[in-house]
This record gives sequence, C-alpha cells and structure tokens, in this order.
Amino acid sequence: MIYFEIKRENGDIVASNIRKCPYFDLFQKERNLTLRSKQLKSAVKKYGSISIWLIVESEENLLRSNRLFNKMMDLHAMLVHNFSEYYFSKIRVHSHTLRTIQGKMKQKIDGLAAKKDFQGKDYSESKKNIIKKVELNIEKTADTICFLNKRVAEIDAHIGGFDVLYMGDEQDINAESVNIKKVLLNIIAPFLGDFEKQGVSINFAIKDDYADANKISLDYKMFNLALCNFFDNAIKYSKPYSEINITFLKKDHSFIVEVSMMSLRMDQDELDLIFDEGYSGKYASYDAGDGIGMSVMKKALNLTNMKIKIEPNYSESEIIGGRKYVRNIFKIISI
Amino acid sequence: MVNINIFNFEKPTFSFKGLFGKKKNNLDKSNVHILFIDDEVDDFPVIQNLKDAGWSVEGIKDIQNIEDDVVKRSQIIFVDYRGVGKTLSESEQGISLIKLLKGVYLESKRIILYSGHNRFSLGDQIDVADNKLLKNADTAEFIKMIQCEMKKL
Repeated sequence: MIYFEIKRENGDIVASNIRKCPYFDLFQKERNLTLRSKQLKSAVKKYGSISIWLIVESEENLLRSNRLFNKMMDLHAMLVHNFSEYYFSKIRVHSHTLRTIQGKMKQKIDGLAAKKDFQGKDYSESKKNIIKKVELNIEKTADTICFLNKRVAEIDAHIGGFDVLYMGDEQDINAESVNIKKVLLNIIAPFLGDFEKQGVSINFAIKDDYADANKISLDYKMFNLALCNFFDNAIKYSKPYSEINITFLKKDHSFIVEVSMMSLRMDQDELDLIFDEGYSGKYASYDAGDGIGMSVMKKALNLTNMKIKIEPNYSESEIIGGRKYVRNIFKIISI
Repeated sequence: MVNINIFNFEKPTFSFKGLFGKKKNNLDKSNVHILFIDDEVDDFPVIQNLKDAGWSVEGIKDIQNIEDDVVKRSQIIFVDYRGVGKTLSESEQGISLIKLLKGVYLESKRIILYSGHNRFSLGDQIDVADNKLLKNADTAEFIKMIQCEMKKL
C-alpha cells in the first residue's frame, strides 16, 4: 500500500490518504523512518512550494530500491499536485460565477427593500414591512421576481454544469414523455428579459397540437441544463434586433429541434472546437466568458441521448459594430 | 501564484493630508458624478439602485476615448477588474485602464477597482487604484465608498 500527503508551504493539505495508514501515529512523530522488519518506509521531501510525505507498506520493490521509492515520490508530487490544481482552478471559476450571481440577487433585492426594511420584532412584522414596500412598488417587485427567477435558473445551470463536467458520469437520468413546446417555453422564460434588452424576439414555429400529439422522451433536468447554457450564450452572441426561430420535427422515434438565428460567426474549423471546454470562438474573444457553456450543453445532451450539430450559412452574413454575424442553425437531434 | 485578500488594504485609511493643506471641495450628492466601467453594465443592479437613491450615475461597457465627455465629467469612477480595458492589455484589463485614467487625470478623480473575484493577484499592481471593493457588495457599501471618496477630492 502507498499512502501520501501533499501539503502547501502554509500547511494547507492539497491531497491526502495518509490517515488511512494503520501506522500513521507511529510515523507522525518520526516521518523519515524505515522499519524493515515491518516492511514499512516513510519519508518526506520538498518540491518547491509543496512537500510530500509518502509511506510505503509491503511494497517490496519500493522498499528495496531507494531509486524507485524516490521516483514514486516524484510521481505523486507531480501528478497529485497537478490534478488538484486543475480541479481547484475549476472550483475557483464556479465559485466566482456563483458569487457574481449571488451579488446581483442581493443588489436587486436591495433596490426594492434595504436591509433595514426587513427589521422587525418578529417575522410577522418583518413581512408587514415588506408588504408595504411591495404595495408601493408593484412594477419593481415584478421586475425583481423575474430577475431572481433568471438568476436561480443561472445557478441551476452552473451547479448542474459543474456536476456534468467534473463529477463523472454518475448522473441520475430519468427520461419521461414531454411536450417539447411546453418544455422550451419553460426553459426560455427566465431569459426573456435579457433577450428583450437586446431587441431579440423568439419565434416558436411549433403548433400546440403538433407538440401535444408528438411527445418525446427526455430527461428534463439534463435538457434544461443544456438549453439554459444555450440560451445564455444566445443572449451574448445573437445579433441585436433579430429573430430566433425554433422548429421541431418528429418522425417515428427520432426528433430534431432546430434553432435558427443570426449569431456570431464560427469558422468551419471551429464547429467542433466550440464544444471543447475553455474554447470561446475566435470571433468572441473580446466578450468571451469561461468557455464552458457549450461543453456543458454537449455533455448534458449526450447524457439524455441527444447530440448537437451546427450548420452555418455563410451566405447570409452581416457586420454590426465590428462583429461578424452569420445565419447559424443549431440542430438538437435524438440519437 | 501568490494571492492576497481584497480587504488587505495596504494604504492607510487615515491620512494627515486630509487634515492639513487640502481645500474642502463642494461635492455632494447633488453634483457628484459617478461612472461605472463594466462589461456587464446592463446587468449590474447597483447602478439602478444608486440612480433610484438620487445619485447621478452612468455606466459604460468600456472606454473608447480617455477624453470622452462621460469620463471628463465624472469625479468618481468604478472600474471592473476583468472584462474592460482588454484593448489596452489583455492580461491587465481593468488595471491597465486605471493606469491610463490615473496618468491623464492624476488626483482629480477617485478611481475604485472592483471585482467579482475575492482575491487579486499580487502581480496585478492593485495599488494603482485609489480604493477597492467587492462587486457583490451591498448597495449601501457602494454608497459608503462614494461618500468616503467624495471627501478625498
């Protein structure tokens, strides 16, 4: 068995399984120690700003060869440290995103009722104070609730996205029969305010009867996650004052949801890259986000047995404010 | 990379400069002009909250020209840490914009760096700004900062 502990200079533990070692107490006092009779060896080594403590138990080759033991230390230091740094960086990005959303929610509530407005001797009094505020600011209250609804959808998308990207494939997938139009209307609702600000309108070219008669099977949670990330990107990259057309077609057991819009150009060689984590597109570099939205979308769709394909029509193009827009058709297809 | 917390202000909060030799300005809520430079200016509730509270506030996504009227007429300028000033420096972004503003307007404006990140990197020369604030601070904290910075002009 091999046990390790990797520590930063400030004492923070980066990764460790050392406490699982039955001889932990023994080596804690004397970390550089070899006990040949018990087939045990413990050593500590420093690598720049980190140190590694390795305990080897009953691993004959490592116990016999100092060269192999040291090599094992090097490997642990390099691999575990790099892996943990990789995941720390991902956690930082998501914690930043969540903090930003939380800040906006708090500030939006601030605009309706300040902290002092919530003060009261009990919850009932606090609620009465807020009722007064709401009655005097009906429009603002509705705006605040819609704003919060969008942010909750964003938080859902970020938490779900994190799970999908970094928690492996251990997702609970429950496909159910749904009316696609109702599902899409639900998902897009929190984004309507932002589309309106951009002058972008959404046109559902799906008849109610057709959607009702042609229900499809999907996992709502995954589909919602995919489409939330899609619409979040669409707000950023669709052409201002344009129209987004959504169509749906079902044949036998397969179906296709098509979203056609004038949005930021993607070159042919980018059409696959755009789904890679961290890639935002060469024409989006100025206002790009973290570049994870599309990768979350692809993975979430795959988890609910769908794939996405982009078909740009470069003959329909426009340049507005230095940004290159083309007709992009996004096809979500059942596998 | 070494990081420091946003609240580790290195500059002293008390200065004798404020007691001696500095003329009292005539700025107050009615005539101070505040500018936010933020790529998410359309989606930052504090701006509307400040307007609703009677402050004169404008928001722009980035600066096209350092001598634009909107910059000239503002005494207190909040600059986002990321997403602005990319044409000046892709790596420094908001910091590069602050350097430019301080270089042109010296002490005539107070420049506040704000960020959604709770840590700045030491390499970012955060002290080029006159003050710092977290982007997710309460509106009341923004107001407190404005009132405090107004007195320093």
